Amino acid sequence: MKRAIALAAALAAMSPISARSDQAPQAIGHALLRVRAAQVRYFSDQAVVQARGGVDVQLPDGAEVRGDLATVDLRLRRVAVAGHVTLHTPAGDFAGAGFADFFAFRRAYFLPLVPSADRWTFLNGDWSAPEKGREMPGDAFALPDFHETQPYIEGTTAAIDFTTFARFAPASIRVFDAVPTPALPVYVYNFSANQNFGVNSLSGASFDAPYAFARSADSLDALHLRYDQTLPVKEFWSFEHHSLFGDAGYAVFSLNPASQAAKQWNLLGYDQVSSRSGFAVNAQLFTVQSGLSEPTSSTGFADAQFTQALEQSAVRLDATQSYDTFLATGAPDHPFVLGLQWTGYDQPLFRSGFTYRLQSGFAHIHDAFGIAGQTLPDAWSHYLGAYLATPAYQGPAGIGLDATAQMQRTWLSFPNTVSTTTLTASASRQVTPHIYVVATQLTQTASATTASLTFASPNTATGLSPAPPSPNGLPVYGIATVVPDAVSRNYILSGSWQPSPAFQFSAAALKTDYSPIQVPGVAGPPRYQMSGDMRFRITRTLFADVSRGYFFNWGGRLWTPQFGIQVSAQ
Amino acid sequence: MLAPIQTSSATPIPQASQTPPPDVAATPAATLPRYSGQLLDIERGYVVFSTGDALRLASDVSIVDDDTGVAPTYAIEPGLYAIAIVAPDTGLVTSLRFAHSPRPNATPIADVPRALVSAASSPQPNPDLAPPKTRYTSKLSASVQVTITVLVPPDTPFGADVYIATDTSGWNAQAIKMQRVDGRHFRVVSQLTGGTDFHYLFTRGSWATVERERSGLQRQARELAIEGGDALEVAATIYRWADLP
Repeated sequence: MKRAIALAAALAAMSPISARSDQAPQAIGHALLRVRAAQVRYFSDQAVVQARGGVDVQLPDGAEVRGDLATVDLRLRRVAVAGHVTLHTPAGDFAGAGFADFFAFRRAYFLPLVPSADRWTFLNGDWSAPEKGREMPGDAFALPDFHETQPYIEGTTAAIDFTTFARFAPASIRVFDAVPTPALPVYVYNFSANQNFGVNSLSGASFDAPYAFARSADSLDALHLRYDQTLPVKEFWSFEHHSLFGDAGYAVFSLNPASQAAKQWNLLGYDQVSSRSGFAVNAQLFTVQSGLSEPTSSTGFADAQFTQALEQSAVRLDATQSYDTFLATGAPDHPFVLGLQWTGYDQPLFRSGFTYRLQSGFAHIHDAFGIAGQTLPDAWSHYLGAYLATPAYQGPAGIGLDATAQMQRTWLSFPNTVSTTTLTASASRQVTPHIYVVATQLTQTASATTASLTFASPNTATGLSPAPPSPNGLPVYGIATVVPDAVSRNYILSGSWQPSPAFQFSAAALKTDYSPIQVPGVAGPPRYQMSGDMRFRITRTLFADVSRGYFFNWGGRLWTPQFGIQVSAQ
Repeated sequence: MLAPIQTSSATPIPQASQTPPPDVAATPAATLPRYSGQLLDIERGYVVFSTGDALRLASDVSIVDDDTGVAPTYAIEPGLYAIAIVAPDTGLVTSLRFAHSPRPNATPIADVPRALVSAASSPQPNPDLAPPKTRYTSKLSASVQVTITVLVPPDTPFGADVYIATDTSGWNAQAIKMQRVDGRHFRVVSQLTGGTDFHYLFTRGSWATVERERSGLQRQARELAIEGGDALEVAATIYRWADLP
């Protein structure tokens, strides 16, 4: 009996089965699909490229399809060609009514009309032996309807890498989904799932219109037309380049602004050395120069970090080199900081529901011209820090309660000691399904044994990094953040209303008591502030974010100088 | 080697007749079988729909606009919607009525009797067409209410806003703004279509403030696939911010 079963199993294994391709989607690589037609249009809402009139499609394997109309679905990774279709393959040329190729599944469906109507399915790129008569998915040739839809991009050719980008040439782009630009030589639309293409080294600007003009599977070049309402000359150009190394490495270079005298040259880099370690570099050069002429001012810094994950913590080696000037004039002051930082992961505090995190760091600071205005060229620092957080407790009347505490002490070899604490307690309530109100009491303290013997550094291992580092998120050297024995008590009431993803409104009222002194124009923040922020959809893909603050006549100040306006794409 | 193209037989699309054809739908012939679908092609004596079904055309087939009953003023091209009226005795399409929108007043072409469909090869089963298995199914709505709630690290600056950057927005760091729920939680509610699949990361509004792994290393993008159902709740935790130690 067992032998019979074994024989049957062996015969079953040897018997021919109908050919089929793999069901699960497969990686399709970066080979390009090329489309040429009288009209090639991209509809961003549906992520579909449509070509009409004398369509010529070159498949990634070199086969060619011609027809009256083609659609390329970037999400389905499918191309469909319809109307007077001719299919040119190494195995022969065929005429028919429709062709559809699902690249991720390696299936191509064809409807020949010569010598008579039929259904053929090509499996796994084999053009020589179609499965004839094989049943097809009912929507294999379905064509999206764009009868009443405006395209985002119009051109006559498109080169498509299904995983990363589509390049159109020439290209007219519909700005704000309404106004088409004149035909540009080329436009690259980037839709890569690799987040490293999103790494942004450009700071500032309330509006940014990128014009990507060059692209490969692992690089992207773009010009950015920008608008910054805080600058004297509000409109300017910038340039940014991305290079990717595998899935986890990148180098991003930018010049921002490129069209004004005060320039930032930025370099951001990251590479994953192993699954538990990585190397990052961040360098900035600030120049004042007309075009690319000799600069009248040139400063900069470079920061390199190596991070190693441990079992329940991580260590980071951090080196920071600053340059007060690169010019022959001025003091060649080049401070250097080398630090080692240890950060523990969030851990439960027994079974209390509380969590805590511990941190520490050790750094050496060298400045030949003296640190913090002193004559000492070298100093050491080390710090210890801890966070404690409660869970969110449910109180009466649907009120939620939570709190966090942060404490840190830094010892400097001057000698000096700097201590900071932050205590936050919040009560929150959901008023309606779309409205939340949060009341918060926030107390921050900072004290130093000797106020003059302090400094700030972007190197977090020193324990003296301003947070947040700067308005643009990048570290800026030399911001004094420690005031001896300062206490800031903040009482905040904030509310947000989000009836839909297309509209959000939030407002906050803030009262601040700051000691030792809170006088307009002397020291301390405004005593009372209010702010509001509204974000709403202005087109199918663009949002506007408008904000403004009010200071209740603090030193003569009523409103913030201007509205904050940010336009971004979703 | 398969059959090569017969270069001489590519018949042009039968455009609207120079002599207005009779509007068969406005006559008693309107009771003839009517099949509607999306047009893929008309050539070589066939009308082919996007279902892949090819029907033979009568030599004197009439072509009209379905709304006006007269010759269409637009080009007959793939993607239009069409009603094919079939003569029961011959099985040939005697009239084609076109429109720019789907035509509900006819039998869907997918339900056309197989005897009317031209196919050189006998139908073969397709083992790939087994119904896909999904974890959730819904008969209540086509869209899914997705709620993403995230717990932020304890060192998050209190005044910070939290956003979601997605690959579908070109990794714009402010693509989706989240709503503060309490001291450490933010959320966003959205209606998404089943089958939606995207990658995302949380940010505080810029790429310099994107979330990181616990260790501070760069993290891979999160992925959200909407498989179906009426509601989906996603609870996420951010361990570290890129700009904070």
